[in-house]
Amino acid sequence: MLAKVKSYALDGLVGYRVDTEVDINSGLPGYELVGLASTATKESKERVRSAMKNSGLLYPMKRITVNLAPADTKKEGSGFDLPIAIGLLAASEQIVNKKYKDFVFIGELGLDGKLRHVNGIMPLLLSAYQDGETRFVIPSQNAKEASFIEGIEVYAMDRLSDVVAFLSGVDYNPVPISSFASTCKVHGYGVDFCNVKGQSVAKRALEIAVSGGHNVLMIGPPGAGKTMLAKCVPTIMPDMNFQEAVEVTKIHSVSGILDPGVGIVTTRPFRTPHHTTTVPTLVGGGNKATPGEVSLAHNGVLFLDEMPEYSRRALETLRQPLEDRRVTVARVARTVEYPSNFMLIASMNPCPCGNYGSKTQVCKCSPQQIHNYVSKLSGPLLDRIDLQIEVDSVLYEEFRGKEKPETSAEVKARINRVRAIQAERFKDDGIRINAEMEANHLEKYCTLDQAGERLLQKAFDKLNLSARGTTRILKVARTIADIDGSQNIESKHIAEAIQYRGLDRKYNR
Amino acid sequence: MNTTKENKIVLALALVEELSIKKKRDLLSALPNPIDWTKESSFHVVESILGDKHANEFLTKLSSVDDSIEEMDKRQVGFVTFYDETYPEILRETYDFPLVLFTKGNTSLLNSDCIAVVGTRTPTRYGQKVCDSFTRDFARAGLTVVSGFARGVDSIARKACVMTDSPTIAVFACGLDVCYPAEHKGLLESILSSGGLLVSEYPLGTKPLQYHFPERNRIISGLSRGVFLPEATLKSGSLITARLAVEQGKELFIVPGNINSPESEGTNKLLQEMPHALVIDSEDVLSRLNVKAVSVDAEVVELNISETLVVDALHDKELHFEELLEITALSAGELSTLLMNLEINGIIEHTGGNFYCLA
Repeated sequence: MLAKVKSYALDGLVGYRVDTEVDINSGLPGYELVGLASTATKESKERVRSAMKNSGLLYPMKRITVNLAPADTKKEGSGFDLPIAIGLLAASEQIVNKKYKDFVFIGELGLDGKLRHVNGIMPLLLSAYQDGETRFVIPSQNAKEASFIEGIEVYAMDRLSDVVAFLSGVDYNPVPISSFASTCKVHGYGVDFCNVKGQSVAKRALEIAVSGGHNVLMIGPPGAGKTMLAKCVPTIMPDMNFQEAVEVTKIHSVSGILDPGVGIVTTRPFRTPHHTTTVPTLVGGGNKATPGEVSLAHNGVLFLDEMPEYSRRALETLRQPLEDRRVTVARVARTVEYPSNFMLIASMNPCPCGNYGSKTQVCKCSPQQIHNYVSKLSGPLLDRIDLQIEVDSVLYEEFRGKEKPETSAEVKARINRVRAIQAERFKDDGIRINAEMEANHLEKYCTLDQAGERLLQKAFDKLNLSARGTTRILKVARTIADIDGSQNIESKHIAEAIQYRGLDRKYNR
Repeated sequence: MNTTKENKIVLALALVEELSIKKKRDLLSALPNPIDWTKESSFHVVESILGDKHANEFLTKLSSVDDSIEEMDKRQVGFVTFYDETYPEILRETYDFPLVLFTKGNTSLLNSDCIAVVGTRTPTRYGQKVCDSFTRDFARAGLTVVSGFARGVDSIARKACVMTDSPTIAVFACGLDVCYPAEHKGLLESILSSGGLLVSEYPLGTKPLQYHFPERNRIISGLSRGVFLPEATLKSGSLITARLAVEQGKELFIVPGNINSPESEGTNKLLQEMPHALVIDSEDVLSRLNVKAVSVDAEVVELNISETLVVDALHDKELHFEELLEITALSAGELSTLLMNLEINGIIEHTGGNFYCLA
C-alpha cells in the first residue's frame, strides 16, 4: 500500500516541501530509501525501526520503498524520521484515519520512540506557512520556537506514540502563541554602559557609531577595556523589533545555536570569532553552505578582537558582506544567500608588543614591525571603517563613582531619536542610515559651509591626514550633526569627526 | 659634462668596492695626477698602495667606466669629483674630503649655505619640538638643511623641510638606490619632489655597513657651515659628527637638555666641554652664521572661556582627556571639538593615547 506524508526541508534559510512517499510491497523484507538522502537522512532507517518497535508499533516485515520527492534535490538532516514513520504506519494500515494528510510532519526519532529537537524549525514553518500549510506536528522541544508564528496550528509531541494517538483521534491542544514583547522583558544583556567608568572618548564614539551605523576600530594596549566597550554596544542599539528578531532567529535556528527554552532571539547578537577563524566559518560555507559568523551577527555586532591577527584572506572576505549587507555562499551543490547586516567593531593593539605610544610602558617594536603590523589591514577594508578611536588603559581612580555614568537606556533613547531623523531624511533614497550614504547622497546631504571647508583643509595640512579619509569624516560629521539636532554640518561637527581618525593620526606622523 | 679623462679615472677608483678612504687619499698624495694612475710606468705605486686585489678591480672598473656612467644616468644618478667646479668648495677645504660624490636631485644645493641637523634616533618630545622648530627657522632663513637619512632627529628635520617646502640635502651611508631605513621611502620621494638632493660617497648598490656611518658624518659636517645638535645620547653617532665639525673648523650649536634625560646626556656633556656652543633659540644660530632670520607672523587666535581653561591647565604638563573633561565640565563631544580646533590652530598637540599637551 502507498502512503504520502508532507514534510519540509531547508535550503539555506528557505524551506521547501518534501513529500515522503512510502510504499510497502510483498516480497523479501527490505528497505530502500531513494531521493538523494544525505547520510544522516539515510540512517533514519534504523532509528525509525527501533522507535516503532519501542513504541509498541509493528515494523512491517515486507519490502519497503521510501521516496523523498522531489528526487533530484539533496536532502539534509534528521527531520524526516517522523514523516517516514508516519508513512510506514499509514502504509501498513496501523493508522487508518486519513487525518495525517492535513499535517506537515517534522521531527527526529530516538530509538526509544521519543521525538527529538531539529534545527531550523522557524524558517521551515514560515516557508510552509507561505506555501499555505497551517497545521504541523513537531517535537515538543521545538514548541517554543514555533509558538511565535501567528496563524498556524502547531502540535508539539513528546513521543511517536503520542503522534499515533493524536492521529487516531485523541485530542491534543495546539501550542499557544507566545508574546515577543514579554519574552524580551525577561532576557537582558547582562552588561550596561554605566558599568564602564571613564573612557568618555570611546563611549562618545560608540554612541556616534551606533547612531549612524558606522563601523568602529578601537586601538589600544591589551587590557584597556576594548572588549568590555564592544560588549556594551548591543545594549545601546535600538531594540530589535519582531521582524528583526525573526530574521536573527531563522539564522540561529538553522545553525543550531538557538536556545530551545526561549525559542526566539530577543537580544542583538554579539559574535566574537577567534582570530584563528577560517574563511568558511567567518562568511559561511562547508559542504552544507551553513551560515558563517557574519550572518550569525546579523542585526547585531561582529567583534573582531586583535584584528591584524586574523588571516588576510579572512579579513578580505569581509568586504562583500560589509558592502552588500548580505553574503552569497556558493558551493558545488547549492548557492545560498544569507543576510549579514552587522555592525563591525574591531580592536587592535597599536603594535606587536602593544605598547607603542604608551606613557608608562616601553615599546620594543621597530618602525618596520609597526608598519607591517598596521598594514595587515588593507586600505579597502579600512575604507569601510568610519571611526577609529584610541582607547587607553590609564585608570583614573579619582573619577570613579564621582558621577554615575549614563545607563544604556539613556543613551539608547538618544540614539533612537537620531535614527528617526535619518529615516526621515533618507525615506526617498533607499537607505536607512548615514553609514550607507554613497557619493550622490554625500553631495546632497553633506555640503559644508565655508568655515567647514576651511577647517577640513587646515586639518589636512596640519595633521597630515590621508585624503581617502574625507568621505568618512563627512559621514561621521553628518551623524554628529544629527545628534546635535542640526540641519547642516557645521565646522564643530567636522572638528569632532576628525578626532575619530585615530589610525591616520597615530601613524601618519 | 664632467666626463674628462681625469674624472673617469677618479670615478673608477670610487667605484672600487670596500676601498678605504685612507688608501684613496694615500694614492692621491703619492700620484697627484690621476692620469699617472693608469700609466704602466707608475702602476706599481698604485698596486703597492691599494693592494693587488683592489688595483686589479680598479682597472676593471676603469675599462667599464662608460657603462657605469650610462647605468647611473638611467637611474638619474650623477656624480661630482673634486676636479669639478661644482664640487662644493666648503667640503674641499676639509682634510679628508671625498674624491667623488654621487648625487641625485638638485645639485645646485651643493654650493648653497648649509647647516647640518643631527642627533639621536629616539628623540624625546622636547627634542622633537626643538628640532622641528629650529629646522623650520633655518629653512625659512634660506639655509639648506643637511642631515643623514636616519630615524629620529634626521627624519624630523627632513619632515620640517618638506612641510615648509624647502630643499634639503640627505647624505646616505649606502648607495643612492638603497633606501635605508626602508620605511623612509615616502620621505625620500618627498625630498626629491620638494627640490632636495641625495648625496652619497658610495657607488650604487652599496649596503649601509656600520663603518659607513661615521664616514658619512664627515660629509654632513663638511658640507655645512655649522652643525646643530638638538639631542644626543652619550653613545650617539652625532657626537662623532660634532667632533668632526670642530676639527673641520665648523660652528657647533647645541641646545641644553634635561639633566635627567638619557637622550640629552651626550649634548649636555659636550656643552660642558664647549660652553660656547650653547644656543637657546634659532636666532642665536642664525646670527652666528650671519644669516638674517625670517620671522613668520603667528596667526592670532582668540580663545573662548573653555579653550582658555584647557590651555591654562596644560601649561606645565600633559593631561588626559578625562582630566580635561573634569576641568572644563563639557560633554565628551564638545571637548573633542574644542581640542581638535586647538590642535588645528597649532596651540595644543595630541601626544598619543588620549593625552594632550601644549604645542
